[in-house]
Amino acid sequence: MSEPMIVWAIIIAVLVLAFVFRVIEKFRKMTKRKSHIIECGTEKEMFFCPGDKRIWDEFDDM
Amino acid sequence: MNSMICKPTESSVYLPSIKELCIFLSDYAAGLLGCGATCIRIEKNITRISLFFGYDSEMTIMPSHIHLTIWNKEHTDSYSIIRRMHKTGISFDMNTKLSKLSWEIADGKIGFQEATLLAERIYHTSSVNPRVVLFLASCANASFCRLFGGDFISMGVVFIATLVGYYIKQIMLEDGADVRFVFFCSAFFSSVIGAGGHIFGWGTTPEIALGTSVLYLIPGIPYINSVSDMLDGHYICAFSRFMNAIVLTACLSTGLCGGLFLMGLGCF
Repeated sequence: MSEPMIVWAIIIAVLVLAFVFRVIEKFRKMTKRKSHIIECGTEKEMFFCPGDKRIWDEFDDM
Repeated sequence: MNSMICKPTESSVYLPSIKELCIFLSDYAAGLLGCGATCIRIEKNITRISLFFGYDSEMTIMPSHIHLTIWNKEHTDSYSIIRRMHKTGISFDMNTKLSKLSWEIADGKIGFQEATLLAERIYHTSSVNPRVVLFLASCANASFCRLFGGDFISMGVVFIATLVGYYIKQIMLEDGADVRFVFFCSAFFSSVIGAGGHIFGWGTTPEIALGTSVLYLIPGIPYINSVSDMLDGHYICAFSRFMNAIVLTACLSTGLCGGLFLMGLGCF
């Protein structure tokens, strides 16, 4: 195989892989709720212990 | 369609106020500008509708904005609006429907309120199925290859190159990528696939396959519209559309050259 053939095959392979990953990603999004490894949460979420009262509106009477 | 414009009678037709008409027409003009209508068409359609309702219109068409003023006949009252063009992409279908709407108003077939509803429906009409467009664009480009003297194998190569390049264009635009980068990527991958004929010796006319593999990206409508606007004296719009087309062509060329160099094929 000549050099242009190898380069051509690599480019096409990359392209095909990109398409395959896109399809997999799309399929995953359709079937599963998106979950993040790192997320920004509120303070209340960080200090919440199971059983705590969920009072989210701190400034209700303001 | 009548060349004469019917005048509405107050008893039969709802006559909009200057403000109502200005809001409707500015939206209408922004829709036409967004779907790729030429300045002369926008001016004619707006004048046709405003005259029907008994008002005068003055308009400035900028590259991406419409500045419209509607006057009453006595020129004692006016209303002005600056509206940004709708981002609908070039659509002959919408262009035709909006023009037809202006004639239906001018012929007295529909009233103002009905026209407003119809226009809203036209703005929100979904375009043709992208997958159908993808297939048809690929067929059209393969036919171009045949027109330029390519054999059937080259046509197949061009079909695949267009299919892949156009699909890349669609998904990247869906993801909100910059249109210039999209043109570069599409041209690059289409030219690489098109170069397959040269590299592997597919068919007897690989140079035609390579040349026509990126033809689908040529921004033909902006070029034609820029000439039309220039002939009509809308130099700012003409220049803007021409520069836009030049930039896209430059991106296309860069992608094509990148593909050719990577495949070891000289440009000249």
